[in-house]
Amino acid sequence: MIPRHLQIMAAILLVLAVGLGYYNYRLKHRAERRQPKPALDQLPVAPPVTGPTSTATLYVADDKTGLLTRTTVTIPLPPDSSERTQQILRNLLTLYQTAPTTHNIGEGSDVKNVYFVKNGLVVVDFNGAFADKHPSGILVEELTVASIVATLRANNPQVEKVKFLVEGKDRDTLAGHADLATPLDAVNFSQMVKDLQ
Amino acid sequence: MNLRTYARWFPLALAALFAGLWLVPRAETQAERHLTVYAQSATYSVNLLPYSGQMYVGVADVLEPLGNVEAREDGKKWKLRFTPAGGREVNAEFQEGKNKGKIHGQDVQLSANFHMENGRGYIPLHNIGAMVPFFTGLQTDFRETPLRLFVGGIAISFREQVEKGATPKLILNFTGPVNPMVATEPGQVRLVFRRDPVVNAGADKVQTGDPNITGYSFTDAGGTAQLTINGAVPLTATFSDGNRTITIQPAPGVQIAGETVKPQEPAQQAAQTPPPGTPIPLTPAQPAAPAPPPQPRFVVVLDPAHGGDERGAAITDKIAEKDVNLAFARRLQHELQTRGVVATLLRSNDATINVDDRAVSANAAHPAIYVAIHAANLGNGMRIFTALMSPAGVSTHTFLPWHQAQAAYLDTSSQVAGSISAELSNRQIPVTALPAPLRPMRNIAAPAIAIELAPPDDDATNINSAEYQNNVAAAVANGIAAMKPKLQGAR
Repeated sequence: MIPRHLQIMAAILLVLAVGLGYYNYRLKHRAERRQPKPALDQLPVAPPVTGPTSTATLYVADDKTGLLTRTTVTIPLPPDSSERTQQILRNLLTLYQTAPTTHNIGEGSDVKNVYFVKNGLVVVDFNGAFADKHPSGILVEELTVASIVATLRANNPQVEKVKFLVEGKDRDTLAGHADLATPLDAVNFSQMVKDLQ
Repeated sequence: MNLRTYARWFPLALAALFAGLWLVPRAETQAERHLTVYAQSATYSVNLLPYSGQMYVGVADVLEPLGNVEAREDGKKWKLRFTPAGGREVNAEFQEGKNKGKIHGQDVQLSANFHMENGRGYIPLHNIGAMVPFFTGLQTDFRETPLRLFVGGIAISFREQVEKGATPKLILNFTGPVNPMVATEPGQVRLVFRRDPVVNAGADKVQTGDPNITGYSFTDAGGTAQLTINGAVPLTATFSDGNRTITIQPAPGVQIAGETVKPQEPAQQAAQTPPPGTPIPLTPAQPAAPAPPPQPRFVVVLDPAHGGDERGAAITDKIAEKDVNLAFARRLQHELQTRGVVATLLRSNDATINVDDRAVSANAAHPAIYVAIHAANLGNGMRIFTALMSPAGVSTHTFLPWHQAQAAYLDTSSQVAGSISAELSNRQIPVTALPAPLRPMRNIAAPAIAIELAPPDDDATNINSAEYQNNVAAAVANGIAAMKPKLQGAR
């Protein structure tokens, strides 16, 4: 038989433990609510790269005009071609996610990897947010795809075909329209980009 | 978990399983129900909405293909303005949760309360037959059980004629041209009328008294009519009189009941079986009269993109791209038909169809032009897209690679896009023509374009403006009609 004073003590401790647990939960919940959402331009889209700066060409889409604008940026770029291209594309995606932007893409879009394969094929692996949060529509999706393909080719003239992956997997369309199932012909896109400029 | 815990959860799991089994077939059955509407301008299907224990139908869904519809939500009220082609404007007003409404100033009573969902107004299915004449001024025949609505005395009836003897025939004479799907099975021919407004004025089951073609039965259900002809021998169906007459007879070479096999005359045998060593003539000995060359059909296939679970772009929080696509496709179909161009819809209700199936259906129709219809809230006006691919090295006379089927038609597709662009520019509608990597366009073995309708101004809801859509549809229809002589010549 457990003495009565021990029973009372155990009960008090139990009540205290539950009460403190609940208080802790409320505090944490309140702190989470009060914490401001990170601003768009604070999102860790492009991690800082150190090293010598180089000039890169970007094709920037404009939703209002439905056109692409060729522009050059001077940014720190790593020597490895895959990392270098990834950095250039990250720069392009950051531009689209920084207010005021000329073209809307999904918040948190990022390039995970770039692989240069033989015969002019380049495989670009994007994160899930790039496709899942992208606005839907033929023109808006085409502007995104065209600006990426044109940027890739402008900085790597050997690129002939571009394959888009999302989280390492094939995807049929970007957001219901632009066909990503097969590698895109960068040469055909170059012709279209001329029309879009 | 111990045995007692399993025992505690078992009844709950069993209940969940039964609930699942009960709900799944129920959901499937409800998803399949639709009303088929037959009108002079179009035949189309409208999805039914199960609500409050009965079937409801969208008023605008039924009226849109019959004229201009402008509908808007005003608090609990739902207001509709309908203008039939060449007719007077009719205003109607209903209220959520009320079974009374007004059409053209006249009070109407519904069999159950009016219902609003996502800005669309629904009335009990039971009332649609009585409601449509108020708007169209046309006589309407509503058959509720088979879910068929005939607007404007359009129904096609038939009468049969039986010829017995050595060459038995069942001749079905229709009051208008029909184009059923014919399915032959042992001892049976089925004529399935999916788009023809065929009705039966006589008995549903008829016995012919002929031992070879024993009889037929007529059924109509789920928006489709079907004639099943039964026989003791394999049967074939032939069409004549501009598809107004269908003749059912035993298949050639079949021995019919009551016919005795006569020994062939030696001369006849000689005519049929060439002696060994004789070269078989490549041309018939007695050439038949040359048949007139078949006139190529000029059919435009309109493909309203997305549908069902696939909503497409969100034009606004309440307007889904799939609905705008279908509404615009119906307007375009109407505009094309008024210009003498036959246009069919690849999707006439809220169904999910994958891109491969769309391409297969479109290619099977051998269209003169394929038009994929999209909508977006970015920018203004209209965008016209052709397939982004290389045109070189593909012949139209060989098998085409699935992903390159469009390659041989790129030039013609660009001409169609140019013709439509010119018409849109004439009407001061902003237009951009571009190539784009789009499916199923690249799988279409015919001139193919995709169009993307954008709002007329900064207010995205105006994309549903009847006036705007009609103006754009008229321009697109003009552009397509202008290509008809050229494409027919090429075909």
